Amino acid sequence: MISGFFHFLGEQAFSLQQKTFEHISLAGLSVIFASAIAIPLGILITRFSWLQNITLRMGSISQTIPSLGLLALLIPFVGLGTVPTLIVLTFYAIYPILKNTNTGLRGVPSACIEAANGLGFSSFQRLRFVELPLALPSIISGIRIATAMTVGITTIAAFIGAGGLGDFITQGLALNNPSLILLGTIPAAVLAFVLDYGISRLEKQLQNRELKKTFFPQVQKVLLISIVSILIVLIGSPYVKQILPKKEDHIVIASKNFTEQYLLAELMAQLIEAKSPLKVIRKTNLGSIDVIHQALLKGEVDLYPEYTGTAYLSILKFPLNHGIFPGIDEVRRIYESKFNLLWLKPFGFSNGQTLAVKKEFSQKHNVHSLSDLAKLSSALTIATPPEFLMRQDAFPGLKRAYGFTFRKIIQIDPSLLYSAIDAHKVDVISVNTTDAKLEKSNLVSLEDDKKLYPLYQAAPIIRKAVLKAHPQIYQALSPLFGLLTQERIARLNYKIDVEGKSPFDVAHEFLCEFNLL
Amino acid sequence: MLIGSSGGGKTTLLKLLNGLEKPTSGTILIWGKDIQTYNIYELRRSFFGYVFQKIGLFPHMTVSENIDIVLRLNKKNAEYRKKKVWKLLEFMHLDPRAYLDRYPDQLSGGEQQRVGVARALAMDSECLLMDEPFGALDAVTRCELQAAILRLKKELNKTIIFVTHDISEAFKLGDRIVVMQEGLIEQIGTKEDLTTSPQTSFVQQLVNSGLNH
Repeated sequence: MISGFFHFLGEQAFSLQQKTFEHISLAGLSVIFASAIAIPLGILITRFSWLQNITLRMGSISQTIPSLGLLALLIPFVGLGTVPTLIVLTFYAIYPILKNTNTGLRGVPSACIEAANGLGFSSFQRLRFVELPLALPSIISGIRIATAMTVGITTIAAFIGAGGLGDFITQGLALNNPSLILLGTIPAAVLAFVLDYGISRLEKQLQNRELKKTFFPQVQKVLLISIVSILIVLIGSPYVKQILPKKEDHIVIASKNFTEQYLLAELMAQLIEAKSPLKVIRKTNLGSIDVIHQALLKGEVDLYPEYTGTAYLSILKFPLNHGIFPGIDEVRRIYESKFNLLWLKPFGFSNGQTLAVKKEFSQKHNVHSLSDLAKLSSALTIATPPEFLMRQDAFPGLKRAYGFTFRKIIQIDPSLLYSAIDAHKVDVISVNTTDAKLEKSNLVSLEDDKKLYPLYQAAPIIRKAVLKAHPQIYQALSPLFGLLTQERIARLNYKIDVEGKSPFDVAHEFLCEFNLL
Repeated sequence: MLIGSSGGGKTTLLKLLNGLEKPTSGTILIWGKDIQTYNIYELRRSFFGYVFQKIGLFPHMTVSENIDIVLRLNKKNAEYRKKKVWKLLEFMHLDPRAYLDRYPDQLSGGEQQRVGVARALAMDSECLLMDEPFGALDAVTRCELQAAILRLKKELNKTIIFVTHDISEAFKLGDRIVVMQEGLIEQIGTKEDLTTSPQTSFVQQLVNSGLNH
């Protein structure tokens, strides 16, 4: 087990290094920005006491806003990636620094202020020579608190494709892979600890009078040079990463954060890499369809796999109604005219949502469709993820169409659904029809006999301009069209979810099997 | 010498002189010109030196930095500053070799106030304002510092406006003594004036307590 983990660590060493660098960049830049805002603001509010109370109160309220919510609010305005992440992280780092600047300045002895005034210091000179030096330990401890906190929150960057150690965590959660989760959490925790310790050492050094005489002028120089060079590297690096590749031809492939999406993105990426000169940038960890759709419209993402039903309900916002859904052609027509986005040909399978029960249960009670289940539902317990419970096209829609009256509804994390029914804690769970674990857990997915749902045919969506510029993408992807039958996709999902292989390896194996590389 | 019971307006008078408080009515003249026409920071830095009751040395600076900062704000060159700090410490009977690099919390109360006085003298200002500078010190230390003030008066020949509530201190140090109560001046005069012809009962009382002491 342990040696397995080290082997795994060896495999991931390069990407660990890269993610850690991204993580430090994001957290470091945010704390620098936050200091640049919070310290002057802290000085200002200490001068004007009426500002002080209202600002500090607003600051402490700001800490209670959920970071993901704030992130979601920003996406329509600033798009995906580094910018919104930096805004959110900076936002949270401001308060601790502001608060400590204020506390430090207020702690300056009144005798010193009086003396400075009496000796003819101007307001600025008093700040520069008396107040700031005396408040400095408190300000630095504010920066220390903000840094440790920011390193923690930076894991949310993964949800909008800004990278960092959070990528491992979200992938680990989605793929049910504890090693990946540890690979994200342990370095993040170590990083927070090391930075906290380092800054607290610096705090102590500042109090040290012996060092102040001999050591300090040099330290100040070194510190200044290192901050400037870190800034240059940090500001430079996202550009280096994002602008340089733009000069050569590249394509950004995205996916949502669950197994099948990783796999589809990986299949497309490897084909394009093999069959065209294009360089592929993978952003395979984005939160939801809304996030990816915004990114496509902004040109930050070029290509990703989507399901017709999801697009129909979530993007085109058509209502749920019985049986009369347009096919992929209708969705394609609207997408092209409205968004300049093209739906390519379907992969071959469709992944709908439905409910599933144990095979024994299905045989014993003769339950094969949702209508059958509805008759028995008042005696049954169901578990679903929160999203399924709330989305109008999910549980509420089902309930209206079939009249379910479950005895108990349990809301749990998607990764725990199958464990819950395996342990006989619940009788029914919500599933996707291509879930690998259906087979392993010996479950039957029930038929949507009232045709409540549209078809969830999977197909690539690409920006029209990109396809026009690189028509070879179509050739590269065409072997996949129709190749992924229901059985094949379930088998591939099974290899990732149950056998624990990586999406990259599974995709590679599959493409080799069909001689496509 | 300004003397009177606490709350009598002595410190307020010093602050008015130094521009830390604005007069609600009337004007203060320096060299015949209204104080408000001067640059207030210039006035505080080079016309007045100020010694505070609470001493107010900057705890993060050494003795030399505490004195030096006043000179730095007035843009004196480094060499001049170094010499000046040295001379001031010697003048206040603090051995520069021993004291330059000490911090205020490593000094006794008396030593701290010697540095406080040295700081007030740094700019060779016309006038020294001293706000109960020895109020917090023990009797022996106070006596030593009073001697330093007498020496300072003799050698530097400066105007000193000295606030105290101790009439014996006023008698010992003062040429002219102003007795104040509740914001009003009761009497101005030498020690002899006050003892031989006190003009109010408050002055009488004060003088008696001083002579009995």
